[in-house]
Amino acid sequence: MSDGQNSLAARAKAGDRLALNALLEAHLGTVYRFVSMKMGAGHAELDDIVQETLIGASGSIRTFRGETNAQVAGWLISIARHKVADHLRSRYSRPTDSLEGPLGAHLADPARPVDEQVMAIQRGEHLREAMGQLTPEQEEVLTLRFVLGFGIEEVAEITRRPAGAVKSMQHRALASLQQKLGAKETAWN
Amino acid sequence: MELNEPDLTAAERELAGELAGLGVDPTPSKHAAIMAAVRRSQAARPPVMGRWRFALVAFGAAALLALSSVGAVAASNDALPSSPTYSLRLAGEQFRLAVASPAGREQLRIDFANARINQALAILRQGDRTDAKSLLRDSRSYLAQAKKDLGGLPANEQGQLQNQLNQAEANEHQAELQLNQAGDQGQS
Repeated sequence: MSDGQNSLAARAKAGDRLALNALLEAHLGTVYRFVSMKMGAGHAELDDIVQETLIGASGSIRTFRGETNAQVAGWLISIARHKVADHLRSRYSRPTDSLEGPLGAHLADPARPVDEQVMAIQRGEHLREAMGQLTPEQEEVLTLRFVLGFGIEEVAEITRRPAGAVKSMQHRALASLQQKLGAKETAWN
Repeated sequence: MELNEPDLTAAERELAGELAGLGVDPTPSKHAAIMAAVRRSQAARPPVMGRWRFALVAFGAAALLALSSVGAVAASNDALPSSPTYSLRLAGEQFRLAVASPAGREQLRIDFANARINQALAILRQGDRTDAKSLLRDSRSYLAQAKKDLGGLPANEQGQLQNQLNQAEANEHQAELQLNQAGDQGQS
């Protein structure tokens, strides 16, 4: 965490719009990675959800109770999680939208063989599905650690758990994920 | 995303590397477009402090208006008929009559009449015959209305009010006499 971002958070909460936008800009990549992991990288509504998350955060910055970089990230991710859930709910209520998936969006790289691209996409989908079968705590730790790239200490701060507990949960979650992926791929093959 | 996690086994590191690939970074143009949309939404919406300030100002204005209205009505309690605030006095009395119980309403009419009679006598001594005459006219009006409505009250509530009404009518009659005498003296 940096002092610069801490003071940005304080200034943003005090109503400094420039500081607020600098803070949102600094965390946009994290939010984008999180939403793309949840929805799929080529999802048509990905940009909209990230945008809605930042607009929502912009409107509720005064209610944010935190200072550090990790706390800001945790706050934005929690807003993003709700936005993703809203979009998934509305998508289930509009079943025709399910024709629009990540497969078509990814098959646009002329440099790679199509079958290789399809396999990579399928592996990604399996991984995402297996992540969804973990406990919410395990999924959260793996997402923060490996999808978003936070260190053990930062994950401990965001999840309010001791660093040792985060480490052991990380190992258990990876083992469980590996097991679920193995079972899934056995079923597929 | 490169993973440098010495605590992980090779298999865990491989899986973690795959997880890292699930999230994608925005392209610079998407990054810019999203931030532009965020800034547009902020421009369209007044700052939070602005909304609070507006609410505070509105609340303050309403409170000030309410206080000044109450204050004006209170200040007009002794207003004379020639005063511009006499209409406020009448409005305040009408409000109190409107929210009073039936017996309370007749009590108020008698009280309003008595207040006018006493005020008329006081200003008559200072030589203001015009206002005294108007005050007595209004007191008669209150007493006449009380007399008319008193019959509609339960018998147990009428007695004391009737006594007060009789006393007020007598006082009003006395005040009328003094008013006329003052008129006669003025003419002679």
